[in-house]
Amino acid sequence: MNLNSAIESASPPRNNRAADRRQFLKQAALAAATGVAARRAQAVPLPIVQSPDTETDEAGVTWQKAPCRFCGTGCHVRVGTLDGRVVAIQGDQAAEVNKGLLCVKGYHVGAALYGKDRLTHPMRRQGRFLGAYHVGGSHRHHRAADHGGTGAIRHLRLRSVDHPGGICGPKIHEGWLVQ
Amino acid sequence: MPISGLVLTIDHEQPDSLRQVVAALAERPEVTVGESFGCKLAIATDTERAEVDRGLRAWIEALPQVVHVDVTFIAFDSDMEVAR
Ligand code: SF4
Repeated sequence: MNLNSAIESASPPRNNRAADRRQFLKQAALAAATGVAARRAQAVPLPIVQSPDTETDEAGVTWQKAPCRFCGTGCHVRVGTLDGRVVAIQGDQAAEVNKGLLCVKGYHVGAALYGKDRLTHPMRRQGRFLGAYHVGGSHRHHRAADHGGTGAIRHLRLRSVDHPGGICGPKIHEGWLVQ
Repeated sequence: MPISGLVLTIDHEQPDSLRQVVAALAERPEVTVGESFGCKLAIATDTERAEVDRGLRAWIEALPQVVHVDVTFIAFDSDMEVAR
């Protein structure tokens, strides 16, 4: 089956939102692979097309750009969300650093949010294991300050985790509060 | 519901390798074959579970004419619904 017939045959049944979404995601997967294949097969690079910061596709999936936070390479990720949840991940083809590809960690930046064992609040180590109670609000700052972390606290307060480069905040947080 | 976009690099030194790969993939209903560009072939896969997805990926990588598989897209919608 070629691309055109794949897209034609992927016409989703009406009033079945899950099937719609599945078919559309399959089309999006094929389109992403096609874009990367075309780009990588060219001896001369194709012109870079800026991918929009935010766009919503016909299945209602909203795509936004984000940095991968799992290492310092800085790959550009496109994150697809639906009803407030991440449903798909792709590399940003417009990004020079990763040209539409991600490593296995990058493809899990979305799924990692929903892991059952994900820490959702700071915790203190008790003995060999993380403590059963969590450290919240100003208390966590006091605990970190007890350990000489005032510089890190100031950094956290100023830059916080909603900073677009949000790689430092979470990592310092984890470093101080999980170790 | 793992849905993946993959780019296969085909061994262009083997004669007729692209046709053989496309013929092999055509036997797998989970695979939608897209366009090829030189030695690069775009495909999408749609499987019911992550283990099936991994098995399919391993099967593709083991095809003698396939020298490399790049992942370009992953969707995991239903996997997350289980964890809701
Ligand atoms: S996708 Fe992989 S290589 Fe790229 S920034 Fe993320 S972890 Fe690093």
